[in-house]
Amino acid sequence: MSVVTIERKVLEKNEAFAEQNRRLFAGRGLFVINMVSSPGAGKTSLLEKTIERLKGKVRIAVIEGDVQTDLDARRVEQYGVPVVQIVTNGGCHLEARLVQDALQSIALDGVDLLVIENVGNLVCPANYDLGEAMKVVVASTTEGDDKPLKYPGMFRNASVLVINKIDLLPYVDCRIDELRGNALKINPRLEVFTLSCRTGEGLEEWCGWLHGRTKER
Amino acid sequence: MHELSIAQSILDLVRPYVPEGGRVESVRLKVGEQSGVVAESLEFCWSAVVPGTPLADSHLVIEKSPFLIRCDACGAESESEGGLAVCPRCDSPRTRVTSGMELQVLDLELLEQPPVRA
Repeated sequence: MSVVTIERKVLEKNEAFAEQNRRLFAGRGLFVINMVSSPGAGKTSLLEKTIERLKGKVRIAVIEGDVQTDLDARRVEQYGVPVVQIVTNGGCHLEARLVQDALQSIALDGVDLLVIENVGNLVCPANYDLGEAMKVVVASTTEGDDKPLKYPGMFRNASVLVINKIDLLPYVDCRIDELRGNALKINPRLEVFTLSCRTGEGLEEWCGWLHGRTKER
Repeated sequence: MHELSIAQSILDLVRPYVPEGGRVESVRLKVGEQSGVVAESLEFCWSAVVPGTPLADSHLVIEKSPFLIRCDACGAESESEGGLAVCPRCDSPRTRVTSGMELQVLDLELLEQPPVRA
């Protein structure tokens, strides 16, 4: 019986592509966030509101990831920003290679902030580095306050938590302090924003922070 | 459920290590408890990706590594249940993950080949 030593990371190929993306982003002075959440938490709504509020201050481009359709890209396109849709055809997450290919068909000249909206899924996208500066996880009050404990991987790998749909708090069994506390038990370094894309409450703090981070580049 | 693409990645990674004409008995992996990969799903997906390759008869040997955190406040390294980052000894949130996130191919074992007749 003979043993061949390998000792290599399973996802090293993805990590190599992510590193290439990261160098490309750095070369262009681009701030890149990877938005992740379960389906329906409000990633696209948050993106729309963010583009609206930062208009004239931050030039934004968007990569949309979905299992099927270009509905999200068409939604975002109406705001006059460069956008490209990646359709994964069943794939449950974006990979760095797919992002690299998508970069070929998007005009990045003059862009300050690139938002990659991942496939709605709280499990798989946690494992795949796309070359972003940080992951922003969106959780909504309708999902309940125990989400971070049930899906720790995503909350551990994110740098920012946006709690959306706070306008619905009177109608759902979600305690916002419990949700925040559970997330911080998984990742004490998380920066937390609470907001409602529908009413606009809290959007100013989030957009102000994002504006500041983008200009630091 | 990304175990299928993980299985494919493992196959792509180990294939160049199989010598010409060689057959593989098993592939040994280290999978962290908080790596986001389910061992049983991965084994199932492995059987789906290997047919027609030198790894067709191989199985996965999965070594699970526990989720450990080291506390910067009290210095203890502890196993943390449920992936929590809070030190179970002193309740401090100032911790670092030291184990349990791995997703690594360790080695492969080749099947004994019948001697080649001259």
